[in-house]
Amino acid sequence: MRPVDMQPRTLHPHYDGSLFDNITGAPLWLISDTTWTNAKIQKIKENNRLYHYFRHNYAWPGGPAKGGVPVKPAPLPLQPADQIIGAAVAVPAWQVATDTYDTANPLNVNARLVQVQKGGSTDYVLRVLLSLDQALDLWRVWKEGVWNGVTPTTISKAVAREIAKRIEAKKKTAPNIPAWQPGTFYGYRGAMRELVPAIGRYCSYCECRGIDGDTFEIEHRLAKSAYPSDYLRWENFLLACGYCNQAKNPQPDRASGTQLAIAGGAVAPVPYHQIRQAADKNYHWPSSNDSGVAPPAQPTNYSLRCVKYRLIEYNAAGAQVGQINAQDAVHFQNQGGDDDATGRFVNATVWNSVNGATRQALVRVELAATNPGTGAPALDAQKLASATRTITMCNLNGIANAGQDRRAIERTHAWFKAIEKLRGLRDALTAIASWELAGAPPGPTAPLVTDRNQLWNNVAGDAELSGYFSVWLTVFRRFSATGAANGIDYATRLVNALNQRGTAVSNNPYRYRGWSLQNSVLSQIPNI
Amino acid sequence: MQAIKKPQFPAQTAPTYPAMAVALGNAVGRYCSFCEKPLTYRLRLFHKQRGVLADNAPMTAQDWPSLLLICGDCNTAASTNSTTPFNPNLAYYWPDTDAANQVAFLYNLVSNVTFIAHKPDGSVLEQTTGSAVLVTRATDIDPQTAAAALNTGSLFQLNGRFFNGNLSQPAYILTEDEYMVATDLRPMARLDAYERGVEAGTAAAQAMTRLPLGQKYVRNVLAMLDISLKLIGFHSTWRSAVFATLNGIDQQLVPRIVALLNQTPDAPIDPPVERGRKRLARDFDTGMGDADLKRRDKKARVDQTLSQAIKTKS
Repeated sequence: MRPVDMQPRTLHPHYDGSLFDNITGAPLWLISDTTWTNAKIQKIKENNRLYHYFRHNYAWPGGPAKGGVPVKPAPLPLQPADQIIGAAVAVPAWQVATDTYDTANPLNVNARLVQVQKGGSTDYVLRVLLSLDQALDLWRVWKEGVWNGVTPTTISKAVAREIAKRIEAKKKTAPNIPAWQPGTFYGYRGAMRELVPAIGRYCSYCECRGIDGDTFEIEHRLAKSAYPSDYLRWENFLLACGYCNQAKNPQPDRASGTQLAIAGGAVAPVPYHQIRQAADKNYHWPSSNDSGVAPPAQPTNYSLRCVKYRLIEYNAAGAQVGQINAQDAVHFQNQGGDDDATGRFVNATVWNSVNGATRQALVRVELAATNPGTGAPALDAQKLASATRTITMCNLNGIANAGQDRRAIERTHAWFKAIEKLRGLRDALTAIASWELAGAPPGPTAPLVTDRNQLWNNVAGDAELSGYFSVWLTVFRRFSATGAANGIDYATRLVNALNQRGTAVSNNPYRYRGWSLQNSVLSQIPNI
Repeated sequence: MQAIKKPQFPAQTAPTYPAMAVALGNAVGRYCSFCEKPLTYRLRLFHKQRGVLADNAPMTAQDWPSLLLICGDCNTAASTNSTTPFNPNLAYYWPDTDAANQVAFLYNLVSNVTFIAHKPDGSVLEQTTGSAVLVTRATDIDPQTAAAALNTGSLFQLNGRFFNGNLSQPAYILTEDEYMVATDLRPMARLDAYERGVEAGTAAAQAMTRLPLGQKYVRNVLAMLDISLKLIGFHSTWRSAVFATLNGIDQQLVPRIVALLNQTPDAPIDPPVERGRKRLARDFDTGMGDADLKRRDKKARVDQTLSQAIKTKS
């Protein structure tokens, strides 16, 4: 799994900027309620503003069926006669007695009371300040009523119910939709426009290139059905191919999260936030910051160390023979061939160091969870188990439908393509070096820099086209030690060339991006 | 759309959808027969008589001559095409038939393409101008082939499902949903292939400047570019970009490369007009398809002819 850095995004709120609180910057919900202390919320008003989320056919789990009709938000404008006549007055924050997505602390809901003129009479509007996280948490509480023995207070439940009602009401009627603002997204599907430029159009799990339009999806690390508070959370997004998404869905669910939490010492009934944290922590995510408790200045991601890629041999009956040793697996004499007739393996020519000759073999490149060796035994054991769970969860070593699901097969082809490319690259670089040594015309130095750069650019471009970033790095890493003696660290050069290409072009989806982790990537490149 | 030479139904192959897809992929290369996209995600089949096939549709060995590999985007285009739906009674231009000996489609980079996305109420969400590689029909093919090519181009909407069909004022008109979540990647991927073709052409030209230092290096670089071509697919587009780039640098680069690859002296060739370029494209592609090692085995003979050519040139 290629490590990616999702780069924190400022989540777009439910409303556009004019509905931010002008003091705190928090997004506003407008709740008109003269007797709010009794939790008799009568109605919610909002300005005639864009409702960004939930615009695309999404039916909330358990929510009303939409009958296939495109869901659009319905703005509920303040009436023209509704004039704000008084300054906002802060009202005491109230606490929602439920755990939130990430903490056991009660949810603090801040509000302001605003005096408005309504049709000749004075009314009060309660502005409730809710972040997206808060709104989703409240929505979840409302949907679940009592959660693990924690009964929401009347008011919080009422607020949550009202918010949820409004969320669903907005999806039913045709809107007057203001212009979409670049840089924002609406509905989790809308995040595609930000995700692809951020991390490249590659599956975050199997690393295949997203090449067909209908088979590439936004992936929720924590399943949206089980963890609705993460439904729109940027950090919970990844990109996944149809096969990985299908295999994973809807894992990790609430039950598995609960089991993991209890296994980690939580006591039943386990609060929601502990379940969620257990599910998040006990799988390996390509976008994880794995550094431990305190986030360092440079985030670390052990994806490349937790998962290794190996060439596995099978016999004609489809049974595993074993791993081909590292030296033979990346030998320059190796050649990838056709798919075997079953569509489950690749016919390849593989070097056999025992007798110093090549042989034909049925092979497949597979993932193996490994101890990352970070020097923290407990952490390592957890990472090993987490990576194992993720590989199993996405069926990364399996083939869902032989002849169609090509993840494992293309991963294997990528292996041999990388070897073939590296062979050509090495020969070409050797030739250039020999010319420089000989002082050959047309000049010993500067022009040859161009030659080298173009070679590396071409190799990096092929790594982009091939997909399976980790496979390429694994193959190149095998020759880095040898190459380093000649001044060439192939894996590092490849990473740098990929990084250059990724940053040079902003609108091409087939670039590897998400590279603020680059420094940690270089130190994590596996040696098979 | 490049010609496909399909062998007889491979013996021992089970007459099932997956087995025949694997066999076809091995036999002709795993590329979409229509848009030339590499099929790295999934192998789908299209049937020349039955049209779009359901997953795991029943097959017999007799279906083999009718099967072509197809990508998800072309499959979606054909299955959702209400304007020019598949009609088994129509004549189509199939890449595995003799008709494909005539190059029916050309691939040209166009820079004045409008991209416009509409909101559901019809107002403009976003409008930009950019480049696209547009597929057009060749004008020098016989009328029958031209009609068949029109049917094929229309069925699979080779310029993309959202192309306005107007080559003089080309535009992609996107729904809001398509704007948000692209579902037809062919135009974007084809443009990407073109850009990579320009890179390849530049790299090839740079390598050719080193020919006086030894042809092994040049052959090696060309073999590396051949791998690029296999990975990117979109062969027709890629070649167009390579030739345009090489011709832009030096009109003699293409014949010299072809000569190098075909292991023949620098022979006179057609001028780089469209027809000549197409023929060159075939030669170029065939030449680059040979294995690098095979070429090296014939190094001695090539060395001789090339050094003669270089001397003549200089």
